[in-house]
Amino acid sequence: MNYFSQRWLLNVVLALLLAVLVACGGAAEEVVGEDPVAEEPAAETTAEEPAAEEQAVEEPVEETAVEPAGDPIKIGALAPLSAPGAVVGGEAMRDAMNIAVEEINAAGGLLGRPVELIVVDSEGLPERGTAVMEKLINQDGVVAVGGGYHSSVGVAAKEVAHDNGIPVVFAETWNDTITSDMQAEIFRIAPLNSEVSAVDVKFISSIPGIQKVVIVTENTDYGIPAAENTTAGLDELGIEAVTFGVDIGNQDFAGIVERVRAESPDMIVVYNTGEAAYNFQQQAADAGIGPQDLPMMCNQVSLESEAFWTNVPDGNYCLMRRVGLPEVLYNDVAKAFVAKYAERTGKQAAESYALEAYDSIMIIAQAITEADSTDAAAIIAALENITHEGTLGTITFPVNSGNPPEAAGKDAKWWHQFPDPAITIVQYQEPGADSNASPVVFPDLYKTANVILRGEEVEINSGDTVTVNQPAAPASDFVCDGPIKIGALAPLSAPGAVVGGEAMRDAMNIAAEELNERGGILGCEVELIVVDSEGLPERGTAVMEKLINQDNVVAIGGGYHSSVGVAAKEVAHDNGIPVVFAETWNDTITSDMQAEIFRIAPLNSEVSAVDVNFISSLPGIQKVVIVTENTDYGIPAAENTTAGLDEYGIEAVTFGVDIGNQDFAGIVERVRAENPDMIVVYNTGEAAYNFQQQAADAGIGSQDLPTMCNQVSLESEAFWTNVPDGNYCFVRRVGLPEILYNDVAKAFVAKYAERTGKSVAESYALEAYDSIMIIAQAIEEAGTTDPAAIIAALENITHEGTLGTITFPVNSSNMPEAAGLEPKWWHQFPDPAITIVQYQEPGQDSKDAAVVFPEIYKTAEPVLVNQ
Amino acid sequence: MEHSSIFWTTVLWVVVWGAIGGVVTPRIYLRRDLDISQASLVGAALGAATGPIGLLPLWYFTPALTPRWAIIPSIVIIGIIVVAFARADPENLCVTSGSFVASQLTNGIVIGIIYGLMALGLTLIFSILGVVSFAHGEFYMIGGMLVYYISAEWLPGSSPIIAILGACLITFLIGVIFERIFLQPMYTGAVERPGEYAILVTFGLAFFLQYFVQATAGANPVKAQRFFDFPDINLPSAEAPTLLQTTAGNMRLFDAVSIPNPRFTAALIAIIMLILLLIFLYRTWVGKALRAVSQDRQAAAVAGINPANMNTLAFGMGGMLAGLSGATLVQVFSWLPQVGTLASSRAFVIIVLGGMGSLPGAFLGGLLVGLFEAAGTGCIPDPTRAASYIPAYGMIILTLVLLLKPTGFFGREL
Repeated sequence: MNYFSQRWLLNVVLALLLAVLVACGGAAEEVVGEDPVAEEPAAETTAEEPAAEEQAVEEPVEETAVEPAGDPIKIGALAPLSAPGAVVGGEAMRDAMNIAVEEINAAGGLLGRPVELIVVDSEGLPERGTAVMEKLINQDGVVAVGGGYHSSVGVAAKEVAHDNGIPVVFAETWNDTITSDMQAEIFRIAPLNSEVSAVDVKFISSIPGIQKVVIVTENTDYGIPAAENTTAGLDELGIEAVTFGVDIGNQDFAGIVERVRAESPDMIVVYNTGEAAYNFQQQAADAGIGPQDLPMMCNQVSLESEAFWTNVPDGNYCLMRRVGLPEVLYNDVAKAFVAKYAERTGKQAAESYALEAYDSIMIIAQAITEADSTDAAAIIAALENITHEGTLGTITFPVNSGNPPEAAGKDAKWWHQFPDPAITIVQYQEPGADSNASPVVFPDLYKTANVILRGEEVEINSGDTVTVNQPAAPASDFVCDGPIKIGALAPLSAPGAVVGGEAMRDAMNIAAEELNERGGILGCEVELIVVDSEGLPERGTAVMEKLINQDNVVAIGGGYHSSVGVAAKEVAHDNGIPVVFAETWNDTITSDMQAEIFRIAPLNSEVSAVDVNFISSLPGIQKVVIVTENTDYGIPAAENTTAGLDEYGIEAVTFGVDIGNQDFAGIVERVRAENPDMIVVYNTGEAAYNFQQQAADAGIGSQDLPTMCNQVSLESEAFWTNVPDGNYCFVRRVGLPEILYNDVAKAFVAKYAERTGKSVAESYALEAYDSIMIIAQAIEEAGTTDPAAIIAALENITHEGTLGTITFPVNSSNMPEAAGLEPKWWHQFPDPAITIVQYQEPGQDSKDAAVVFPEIYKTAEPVLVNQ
Repeated sequence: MEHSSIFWTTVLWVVVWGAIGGVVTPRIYLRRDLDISQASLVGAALGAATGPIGLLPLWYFTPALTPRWAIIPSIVIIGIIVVAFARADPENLCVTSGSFVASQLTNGIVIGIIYGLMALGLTLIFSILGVVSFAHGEFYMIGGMLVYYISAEWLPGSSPIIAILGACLITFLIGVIFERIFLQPMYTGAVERPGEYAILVTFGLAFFLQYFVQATAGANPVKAQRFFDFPDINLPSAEAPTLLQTTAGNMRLFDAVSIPNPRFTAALIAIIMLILLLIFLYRTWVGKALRAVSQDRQAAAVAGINPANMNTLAFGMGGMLAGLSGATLVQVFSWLPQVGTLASSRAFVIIVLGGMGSLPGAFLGGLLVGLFEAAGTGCIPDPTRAASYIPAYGMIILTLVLLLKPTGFFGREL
């Protein structure tokens, strides 16, 4: 091809591109003013968003009978009105909220002023949700916000409301986090995800012959927790669940359908919302595994009958969970609303999210009236005490600032949460049926017909009425459905401290074996699932996710690196699973005051205080060099020690290094140049050995200068292999000296010696053992594997362990403020003994090393090598 | 840093004039229809070193350029940066303490030599086979592990030389066997996409070796005892050893420079091996054959050299050189199955810096990275950060060099 033909081709391509661009622009303009529909691709609907918003804003104003006077009170309304959001649901909510505002204005407005509803389109996208929430609050000046459909949007957007102090009443966002973050501004009338999953689990398990379930879920803040909760619940009942996650905007499910078929499930559960739910359900039906072939729990969006039958013509026998009372039990408010809704939309039934959306606006209106103000704080106060007769029944928020979750004995998720949204399972039993006329098949309390599965009518029995917030089963009722799984976190590969990790693993295995020898916990076998954190925070969170959501552990013990603990505890917190940390010292771990997090290791600041006391007790120490790893353990440790030494007039210079660093030659030279009187090492793992030996090679090791070696040096064999010139190292040690060991510790050390060949158990081995045994005792005392009950038992535990009598005296019934203590003491074992030992002979075993500090445990005077 | 504005203003001046020189010079040379292959490098170096004072005459006279034109300006740039740093942070140890600087330089050179030795193996493999071995770090790890196990577990009390030779032999054999089984198909047409195949298969070897060692040897750190003790020497006298003072584990030169025994031994072995390697490559028939294949496979084959055998030899030798680096360093660092990961990435940086396939480039690159790491660790004022970013220092110098000379120091011009 010559030059000119290339130019010609280029021009043609450019012209075509231009034409496409112009066409796209034109298309976008043409769509403006139309109602976005589910089938429209995201790009086109996105182009119209400002116009859609304006239209939505104007709509109520046009239709309002403006009787009240003055500036309107603006209320925000959040709904997904374009793809990839659930447009069908969003439009239903918008209509319902408009009806609410029309009613309010027809009744004279609020405080004598008209109400203006400003509807914004979240598109089902978190980033868009925060943007429109910002707009509502900071541009439109709304006094409160109602609505909300997608959990991911709610989770993101609530932060904006929280930051601006504007109340939000969420209508249809189920993710537990929305309320469990306990933000003053956030209220919810939709059910909790975990409670909905509990109903799903109960329903599925009541169907005979269900052994394996496939869950198809969207990868969102609604779908993932829903799938996880259901999986965990089914697992406890011995039903296997396999989850397939898909993107929220996914259209083509052919591959997933084939994989689902390959799993040969007895039932399918769909946690996709919006068009994706329809797409999957119909594509599965096309492939012969639809609701007419296999029991299928369709997504609740399928309650929108018209859209459902249009999109899923082969969707008969779909089972759907439905929030809110069945129509037969509707109160007058609901009946009146449904009549108006039918008139406006032509639909015969109002979907649950339409009812919720209507109520969310009406509740806000009542709160404004009761507050007699549009001040956000006053509205929040009114909401906390509200009793609202809505379409869902009598709505209250009983867990609030006057009755916090701890006082109410409830999880944080019940904060500002309407506790009684009825949840039922309905089934389409005729093609083209209206969801409102379809029978309720579960639970017994509301049941109007038997469920039809694979063409046959099946009688199932829920056995009881569905209640939210089911109490934990009492001990006597505990049924052993397989082993009780306990997670164990330890670093078993570099760059983690492998030596410590392996010691902890051995100790925790001993604990599990002991428990099983005694007959297990609650009569069930104990299965310890050990995972490798590698000393890396990102790996720690990943394995914590695995433990909780794949292995379904009921509690977790162990933990070595603070950086891992700080990151991984968030996963445990989000999932409500208790963790007893064994060897993570960072203060933040407990000072965040998370309900699930307990610790038997000492606090970093307290360890540093011991270091400081020891160093300041030595004669002639004027300047200290601290060599620390740049981690959540090392940095605070160095800072605390520096601050403490400073109070004694001792100068401290800190050198930070990467956790995987090997070559310390440069640092050793810089340390030498500082001419210190003492060196303190806060590197863990191999880095500690590398630094200590390289310093010794360079003539500033522990035989030349007083050196506080890292506690990993207590592992005598590895220490002397890696630091042959490490004599006279000082090492801090957690736990009582061996001479003061109690019977539990002695018995453990004997077993540990037998298993590992070591003559001494390191502090982290003792702690790891205790962490598992404490969990076991807590489960026994709770009489259940319910995490909330285990947490409650841990708070009140008195455990005789290797470290002594372990308790967590600062807890939800004795808050830090009440105890006059800092938050770091929350769920913290307050008495781990900390001593300083010193190797005083080459090759010495750490158990024989001299205890040189504090006085109470002292067995020998410290040897100061340079004096 | 006391007067940081001095330092950063100087850096800005150097960067701006370097950029102007690097961009404008090749355009002027192109307009006059002259060779522009070195114009960007020389323009940037001269601009950074002298600003308009050097650039204007260069642009006016446009002399014929060779890489040597960049050497003196590069030295001047280093001088400018050093002076600016000294002015900006007069209390810094790198400014006030000559012995500290000498110690850091020594550390940089010692570790740089070992880096160079390791990178030499990688570049040897690349130059002959055209393959980047992603298992290079694992050969390094295995070399160290073998020395530990031979000297401490299998033949306790044996001479470290036996352990080192054993490590060399076994890593060489692993390389040879692997090349014969897995890499030969690349040259027989049995593999459709040989480049990608080589990457995948060496990755596979890396994973296998790392996890095999972890499974068999465990994940506990090990460390070999130092190979030799220094004899007790005090010069000129025991009372005032101002020239040289040694203890079993340390050597002190001129009462200023301190060299730990294990590093000294490692560098010494590395230097001896480098000399032997050079003799092998430049003085023996097989070495010349290897170099011939690296220059032109077909011409070498015409001259009677079997390229397939040379491939095998090169991969074995490359693995052996990595193994030898590990063998020398296992007495310096604690050793784990994962130690090869960082070493491997550092070797990649070095061979790209020196020029892919260039033996002198690998050695020079190793030295430079070693020195740069030592300078960063020693001179960055904030001690909490100085050693936190050691692996990043090599990347900084690599970026600078590649900006000015994309083929590296001694890479073949494209």
